[in-house]
Amino acid sequence: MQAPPIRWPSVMPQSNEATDEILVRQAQQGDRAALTELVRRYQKAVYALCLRYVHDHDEAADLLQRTFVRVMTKLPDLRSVELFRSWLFRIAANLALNYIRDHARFVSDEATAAGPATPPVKPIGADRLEAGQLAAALRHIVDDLPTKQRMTLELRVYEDLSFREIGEALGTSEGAAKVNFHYAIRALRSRIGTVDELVGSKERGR
Amino acid sequence: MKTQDSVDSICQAIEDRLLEGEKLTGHPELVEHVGSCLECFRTMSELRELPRIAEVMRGGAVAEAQAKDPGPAFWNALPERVAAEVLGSRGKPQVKVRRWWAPAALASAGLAGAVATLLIVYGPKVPAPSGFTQAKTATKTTITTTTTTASASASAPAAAVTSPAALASSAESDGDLTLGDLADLSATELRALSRRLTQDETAATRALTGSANDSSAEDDGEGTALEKLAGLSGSELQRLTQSLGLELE
Repeated sequence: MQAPPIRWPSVMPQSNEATDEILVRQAQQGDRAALTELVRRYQKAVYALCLRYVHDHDEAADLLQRTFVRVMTKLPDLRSVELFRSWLFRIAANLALNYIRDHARFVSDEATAAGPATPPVKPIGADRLEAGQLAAALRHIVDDLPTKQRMTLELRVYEDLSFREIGEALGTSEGAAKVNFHYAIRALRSRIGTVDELVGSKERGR
Repeated sequence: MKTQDSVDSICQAIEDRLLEGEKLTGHPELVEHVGSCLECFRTMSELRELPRIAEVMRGGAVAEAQAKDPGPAFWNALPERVAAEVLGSRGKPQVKVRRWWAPAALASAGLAGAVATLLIVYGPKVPAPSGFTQAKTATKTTITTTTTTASASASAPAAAVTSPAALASSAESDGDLTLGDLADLSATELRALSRRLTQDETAATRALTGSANDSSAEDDGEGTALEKLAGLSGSELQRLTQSLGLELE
């Protein structure tokens, strides 16, 4: 990617810090300091991932803790320590998806009681969008993507995982990850047109 | 002329680069191919916006995360909370989930087993008229018995049980009643038999208590009785000695 990946605070180890692999091996032996360091390193990224799915701070925080407890509990069984990161995001995403599935009926009932659902995204090319609005519109479209496409796109864009890592995280091949990613981008483009066009229309409208 | 395989590999290389967000400007052969391949041109058009889309998505994600940041207290506490929960549970033995009915089922099974054991050990037994060993053998070998056999075997022990003194007498006289049969008698019957033997039949009492001084007893039928006494199992001996009021060392 030409655009730099998101550098969540404390996510990327500094040059003098232990690598994930070292910390994972130490944590597997029951090293408390290594375990807490791993949590510290990834907690904000995992929180952001959970938040993108559930859109609620409390639920995201709860999912975040459950994710790390599950990951660290099963950590001794992880053989390929280099896959820790993708494995972590996979568990977080699965827990978030389970949460959405479990609450789907409740949310549906709430929405029915509250009245008509949020109107679908309009053809964006005709709108004048602020950057925040554009991001929100993109967010809405991404949420509507098929699960694998959505997860592939998000793991790639937000977490900067390679297609190989995404394939391992989602239990698919690297090629399938590329295809899902391509389809996701194609779907986004078909909904929003070109980003420059949108931003340009806004700027021209001023 | 390019083969189909080489064309496919070029198409794949172009798609890979575009998916990675790279531009093709540094690869003139790829640019040339895109100009002549409709599929690659389409792919390039679709993925051209990828860097910008990613940028907008990231910006939105960062803004959302910052807006809903739980605060430093949460971030500082979470690692320790997770470590405490994980390392605490690793040290503990796993608690097995028990169903609510498990204790009741276990107690019922135990009770049934105890009742069955009591019935087998202390329940009413039917001594076979022809001896303990033969009776056991007969029980094992003849599972289906005729009605006449069953009634005969039922009547014989009835007579024996109702008259322990007669049993003792017959034991002296013809030797049909063995010590194994005695072991099958109930405690009450054995006590009655013991009283009778103590009062009236001193010889039989001597034989049953195993008088070692009587050397002649080893040569006749009493020697056989002693051997049979020695062949009794622990529980049978215990019951016999308890019934006779003897102390077992």
